[in-house]
Order: sequence, then C-alpha cells, then structure tokens
Amino acid sequence: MSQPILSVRNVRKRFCRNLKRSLWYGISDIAGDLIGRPQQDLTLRRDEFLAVDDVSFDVYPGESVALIGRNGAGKSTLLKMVNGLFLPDAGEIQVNGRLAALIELGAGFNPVLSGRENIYVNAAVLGMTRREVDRRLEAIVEFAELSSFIDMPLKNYSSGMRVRLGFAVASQLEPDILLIDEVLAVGDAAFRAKCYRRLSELMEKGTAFVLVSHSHHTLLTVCQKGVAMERGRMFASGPVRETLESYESRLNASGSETISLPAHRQAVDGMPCQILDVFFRDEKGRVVETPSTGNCASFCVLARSPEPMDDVSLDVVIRSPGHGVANVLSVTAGQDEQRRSIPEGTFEYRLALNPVCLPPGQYTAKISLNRKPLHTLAIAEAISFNVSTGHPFGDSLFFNARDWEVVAA
Amino acid sequence: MSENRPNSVVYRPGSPLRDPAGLFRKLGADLLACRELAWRLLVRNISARYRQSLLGYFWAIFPPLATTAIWLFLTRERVVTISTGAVPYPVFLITGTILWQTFVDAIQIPVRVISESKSMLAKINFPREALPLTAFAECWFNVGIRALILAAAYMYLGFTPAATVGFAVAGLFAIILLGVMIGVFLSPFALLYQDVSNGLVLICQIWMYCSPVIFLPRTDGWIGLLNRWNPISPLLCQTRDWMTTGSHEFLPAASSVFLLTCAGMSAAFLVYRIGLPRAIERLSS
Repeated sequence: MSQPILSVRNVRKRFCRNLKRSLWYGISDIAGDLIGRPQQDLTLRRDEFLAVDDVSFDVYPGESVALIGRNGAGKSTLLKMVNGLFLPDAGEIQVNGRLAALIELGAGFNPVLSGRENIYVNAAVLGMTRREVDRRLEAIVEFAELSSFIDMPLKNYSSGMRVRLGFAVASQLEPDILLIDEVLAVGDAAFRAKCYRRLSELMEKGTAFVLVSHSHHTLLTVCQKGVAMERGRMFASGPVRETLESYESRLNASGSETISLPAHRQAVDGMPCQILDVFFRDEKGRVVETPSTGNCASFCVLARSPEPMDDVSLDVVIRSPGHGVANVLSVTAGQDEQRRSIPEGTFEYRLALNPVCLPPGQYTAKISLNRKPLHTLAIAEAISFNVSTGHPFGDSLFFNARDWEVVAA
Repeated sequence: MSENRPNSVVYRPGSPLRDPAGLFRKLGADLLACRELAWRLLVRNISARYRQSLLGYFWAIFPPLATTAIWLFLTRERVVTISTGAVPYPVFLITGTILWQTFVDAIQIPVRVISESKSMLAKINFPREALPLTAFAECWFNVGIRALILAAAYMYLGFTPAATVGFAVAGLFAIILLGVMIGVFLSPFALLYQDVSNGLVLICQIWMYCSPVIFLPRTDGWIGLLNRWNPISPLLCQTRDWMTTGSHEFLPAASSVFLLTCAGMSAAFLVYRIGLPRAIERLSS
C-alpha cells in the first residue's frame, strides 16, 4: 500500500479538570516552551488526566476512518491535534497532503455583514484567494440556495441558512484529507442529502475522511475503518463493523446490568405520589434484568399513591447516549388515550412493548405520572438500563417486527 | 485548513524553540502567506464596526478630543499652568493626545482582535499571524481618520505645521510598532486571563500621566526619571516636534527605541507563535 496520508503514532494529550488550574498550567506551559523545556512531558499535575492516551492509526488515500466513542472519549481533542490547533504531549502526527476540517462551519462570519461579504471572509479563513472566490462565488451561492438573500445582513439569516452558507463555502475546498466532526447533523434533510452528495464526490476523487459521528448508520455507510476510544484510550480498531460491535458490547458491559433508580427516589417535595422502582417483565411476567430487542417485555413502574385517582397517565421518554439529545422513544398513556385509574397504596403501572424495538445498547429513561398536562404526580429521571441482543439485528436504527413470505401470483 | 498548506507536516511535542532557524523561517513564510487574509479581516472589522454604529468614525477620534478639551479647560481656568515653549498649548495638546491615542490603540487593538477571534482560533487552523497584521493595519486606518481631524484642528487654530511634518509618518510607524509589539506579546496571556485586557485599560491611563502627552518632557525629579525611562516618551516627543517645531532633539533616543522595538517585535512574535497553541488548548473543549 502507498504511504499513509495521515499517520497518528502513540499520541497523548493531558487536560485539566479545574479551570483555574488549567489556565495556570497554560501559563507555565508557555513559559516552559519559551525556555525550551524537555521534549516530552507526561507527568500528570494536580487535576490532570490523559484526554488522549496512546492512540495510533493510519489513514491511506481514499480511505474513510470513523472515530467512535462516547462524549468526552477524546475524539474531538484528537481531531484538533490532527488539525494542528495544538501539539500532542507525546507521540507524533504526520500529515502528507492538504488537510481541511469541517469542524466549525462559517468561521469568521460577522452578523452585521451581508452574506456575500461573509463568503469572502470565510473563504479567506479557509485559505482561498480572492480570485478563487470570485470564480466560485456563483457556485457557492447556488449550492447554499441563497441567491435572493445574499446581500442581506447575516444576522437576518436563520441558523439553517447560516449553516448552508458555511457548508457551501467549505464545499469548495478539495483537500486530500477531510476531518468532519458532527457538523453534518444540521440543516434540513434535503440540504443534508446535498452535503452527503458533495462528500461522496470528494470520496470518488480520492479524498480521505476522518469522521466523528454518533450516528452508527452514517459511520457504517461512509467508513471502512473504525477507531474506538474510551476515556482517551483506543480499545478497538479495524474494520468499521467489528469496531462498532466491540464498542457496543463494551458500552453494554460497562453499564449496570439492571435498571438503576437514582438515589433520590424518595418522594420529591410537593409531589403527591412516589415512584418506588422501575423494572422490566418478560412475556411470562417474570422480572428480567434486561429486555432484549425483538422480544416482548413490559416497562413496569412501581409507585405509591396516598389516595385513589382517575385519569392518570404514565409518560416515558427514552434517550440513548448514541443519539445525543434526541428522544429515541417518547410515549404517554395520555396521548394514547389510555389513562388509567390508580388505587390507594402501591401499584404497578405497566407499558407493554410488543415487541421491544430499541436496538441493543445503553439507554436512559425519564418517567412521570401525570394527571393533567403539567400536573405531575411523581417523576423519576436518569434511570439507566440496557437492552440486549435478541433477534438478528444488523445495522438497523430500530427493530421492525416482520414476516417473510412468497405467494404465487 | 488552508489549501495552500505545505504538503507534509509533522506535529511533535516539545518547544518549537529547539529549531529556531526553522521556526523563524516558518514564521516569515506564514507572515507572507497571510497578507490576503489579514486584508480581508481588516475590511470585515472596519465595515462591521461602522455599520453597526450611529456615530461611526466619531469613536476613533473621541478620546483624544475629550482629553484635549479637559486640559484646555483646566489651563484656561488656571487650575494648572503648563508651559509648552514656542508651540501654542492647544496645538501641543491635541497633537500629543492624538499621538498618545495612537499608541494606546496599537497596544489594545491586537489584544482585542485576538480575543474576538477566540472561537475561530479554537476550531480552525489558519495562519494566525494574520491577526496581528490585521491589528497593525487597523491602527493605520485610525491614524488616517485622526490625521484629518488634526489637520482640521490646525486650520481652525491657525497653526502652520513645521516643514518636517512628513517625517511624522516615520514617527507614527515607530509608535505603532512599539504598541503592537506590547499587544502581540500580551495576547496569548489575554486569551487565558481576562485580567490582561482589564489591566491594560488602567495601566494605559496611568502611563499617559507618566508620559509627556499634556506637558513638555522634564529632566528633573520623579517625572524626569519616568520620562527618561519611558520608551514611548522620545518617540512621542520627536513625532510631535516634527509636526510642530521641526526640532530633531529626540531623534537619537527615538532611533534607539525604534531599533530595540524591532528586536522586541521578533521576540513578541515568538511568544505569540509559541504561546497561542498553548492558550488554545486551554480554550477549546
């Protein structure tokens, strides 16, 4: 194989948890550099930890590599070092070719200036000359679909329009390697599709990619290789599918096996009811530690009420660390017109999932019992649980119950 | 994130000072390469500043005019008496305050430009030398506006500047260079600590009264001592003399300050280049 276009060798970087101390270390690092301190310094000072700890990988021309890991795993720090924003504390990064980064769109935008003026500023920051921009201005405006707004001040743009303009400028770059950090999760679906088309054009021309995304679907479709990180350390690398799988199994293993209610499960002040426990039951009614994808299970909430009440709704919101702030599932008995009466004393409110459509992985749930909208009887947040692998799942976003058949026609 | 970036780079830990020749070569190359970006940022800063302001260019001239007005009032009312020799006091005063404001700008603008670019610095790799260059050019833009005001003031006061007034450009260059040097030196620290910008405002105010801005330079007493060891003092006096009396009295001292400034400028850029990535790693995240 040819020479790698990007080579990351045993890279480490220290970070500090405490802001005041961090700033002070910054000053002392500058002083150290100015007097030419030793080349490698990895002693951890107070409150410091390794944000990137011994990471190595290569990217060859035309290849796409996914950086996989939870928030705070060190992916962005690593990308910033690859981008040359700051130096590693140990190891070496070699870039052989023109590198561009889609980490922030619209760098240097000024809200008071018009879209057209901002194109020139942004393009200059990205290293384009005035002549290049003159030549490509029309293409940029057309790509951003902003021709009728291009002379309007940027502050009157919607956030989506700004992103479009930013991407349109960046899309004019033709780098050998492109770093992308989550920026493509913006804009409307049609524009996103256009961005992906542009990226696939670049890919066909042989541009290599390093991609950070929490969407496993994107990673699987775009990348061939994966590098999985946890707390700064690389624990898996290789073909993207295997890397993602070992990342997921690690996620499941690291989480607690059963559902855990946070410590403050006692009555919340001013709330009439009290949530005592949250657990799953399988189709035979047995309490199970983890439900599995594709099988039936009930999400059960054990609670206590001081008096009988009618029209009580159970609201369940489920999120996954892999999907950012978006809800994976949000259901309420109220909206389903399935409010129930609850008795005095202890009761179990069950939500039957027939079947469980959540992919295997780690989740957090927020549950509440409500009488009317905004009239909350009891609430419990940050309940974490795992879903294990049941039926064959593949790389789908959710489980779809299914039957297959062939009929003569 | 530049397309013109050299085709192979290696990022390694350790101080760039271990290869000083290479460091200065890269510094020079980046300074040359970033001219266009600096120009673009200058146009952006200036057009944005004045588009969002009702009084526009007024803000570039207000501080020296205010200082002039205050001191004219104080001397007219004989609260203080200041002798300025052959030059009428109003001329002396407005020339001095405008030169002083140019110096203060030259310190503060680099710090401001770099602090305002925080998010860009933290996320994008661009030739960072463009920022001090932008600041330097912005100082000259302000000088241009103030020169018009000064010309109008001279005309109003019926004062004819000395024949040496053309040399004042060299003097202004030295003043701006000294200020920008201080600003560039401070800017990595200003990125880390807000105190730097806050402190600068205070220090500049005190510094003005230690400099021969509103009075003639003295040689005796504490003020004399302060004037002698104050690097801006000979630059300011010589530039003012070129504009008013035509004397070259401060030229030797001003020349040595200028030479020292040139040397200091390379040191300031060194601190900037080494310090900025260190500051950026503390900003980001």
